[in-house]
Amino acid sequence: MAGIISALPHLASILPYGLTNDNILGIIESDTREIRGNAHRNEVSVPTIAILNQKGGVAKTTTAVTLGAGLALRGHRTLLIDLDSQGNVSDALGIRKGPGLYQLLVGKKPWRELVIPSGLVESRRLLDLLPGDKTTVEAKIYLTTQPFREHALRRAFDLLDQVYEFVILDLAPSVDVLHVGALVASDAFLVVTRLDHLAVVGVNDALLTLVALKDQGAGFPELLGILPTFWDRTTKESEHQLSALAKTFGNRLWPPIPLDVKAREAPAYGQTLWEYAPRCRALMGAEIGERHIGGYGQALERLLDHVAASDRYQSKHRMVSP
Amino acid sequence: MTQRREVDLDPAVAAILGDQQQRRKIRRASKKEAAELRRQAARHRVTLELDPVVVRVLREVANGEGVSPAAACNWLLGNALVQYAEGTLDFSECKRGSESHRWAFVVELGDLSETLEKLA
Repeated sequence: MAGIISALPHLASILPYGLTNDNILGIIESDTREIRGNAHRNEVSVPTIAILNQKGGVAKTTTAVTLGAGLALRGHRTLLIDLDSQGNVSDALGIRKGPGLYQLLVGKKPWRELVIPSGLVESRRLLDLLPGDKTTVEAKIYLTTQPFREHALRRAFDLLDQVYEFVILDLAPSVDVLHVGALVASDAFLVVTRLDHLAVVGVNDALLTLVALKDQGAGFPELLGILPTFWDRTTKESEHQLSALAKTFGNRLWPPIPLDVKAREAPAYGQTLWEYAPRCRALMGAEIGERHIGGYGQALERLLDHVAASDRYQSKHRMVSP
Repeated sequence: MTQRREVDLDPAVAAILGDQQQRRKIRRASKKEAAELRRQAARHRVTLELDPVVVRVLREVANGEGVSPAAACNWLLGNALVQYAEGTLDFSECKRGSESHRWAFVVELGDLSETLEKLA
């Protein structure tokens, strides 16, 4: 435990007093600009996106799997990495969990030996997985004893760009050495949040963690956006939280994912949403007038637009022939 | 005093917030006002989705006829729909495969766009 805390020596000193959401966003955006020239980021030369929120149950895994599978369907070779010891990414894909992450970090096996195809169906041909399970906990304990532990993940993923065009990291809700290591290894992060008070507090906490990382000089991923989930047009709570997030985050707030029971059903069948219910609300968005707004389809478009428009990825992002 | 600032929003998020505001208005209105607001909301506003050259020509047609752009659009679109139903309008040659999950095809204006530019 002491080892885990020592990985974040300054976090305790970052208190929310005097820090408003404007400050936090300003700090994050200004430091993102500063580190674009950061030499170490050039080593991880594939868009590596962390999906996070320090609150559990907000649909991080669903988001990671759905975006990853969506990218693969669009022809982009994608790697999903499960950093949560619950191993839910494997569950969501209908695959057996495995100690992939443990063997990578502790067993020091090369990642090429550990990634597995996500399934035999055509829709998953370009989607691979580095699975996690309860041995991920042991990997975290091991990491706390290592020097430069925050960089362990980044070091483990050398030459990923020769195979993959996107890497999606599904982070656990807890802030620990693996969480920090994932942020150091990432180019960008997407904060997923339910539209309720406690989850929105988790957004704040996630951003404060990033500010603490800045103090460690560990490098700074770019804020891709805030993605609200479980959006219910009929409740005042959803309305209120969405307005509050819009006021704080402006155009960083992505169109929300509508509440949809299909998103809960799909993992029970080991299928992605694209396979289970390709025209469901969670993918297509909610009908407002004649338009469909929100949904993972639109989130995927936002992600691809961002990568296409960003200087950070233009020289690195290239099609890999399947 | 709280300082208001203009916030840039994703267009889809702005549309949702606009819809929320509309629903709040309807909730707070009297029965008669709510019915009128619902009737107005049912009129679909699609200007954001129209090609700019189409909007330009439409406005010129409306000005020339002395009617509102919405009225001109309704009339022209209604007639186009009748022609489509009769088989005299066909946009199958303008359809291309879409990369979007939501739609199977996109429609490219192509030559029509150039013709409209000359009208504008």
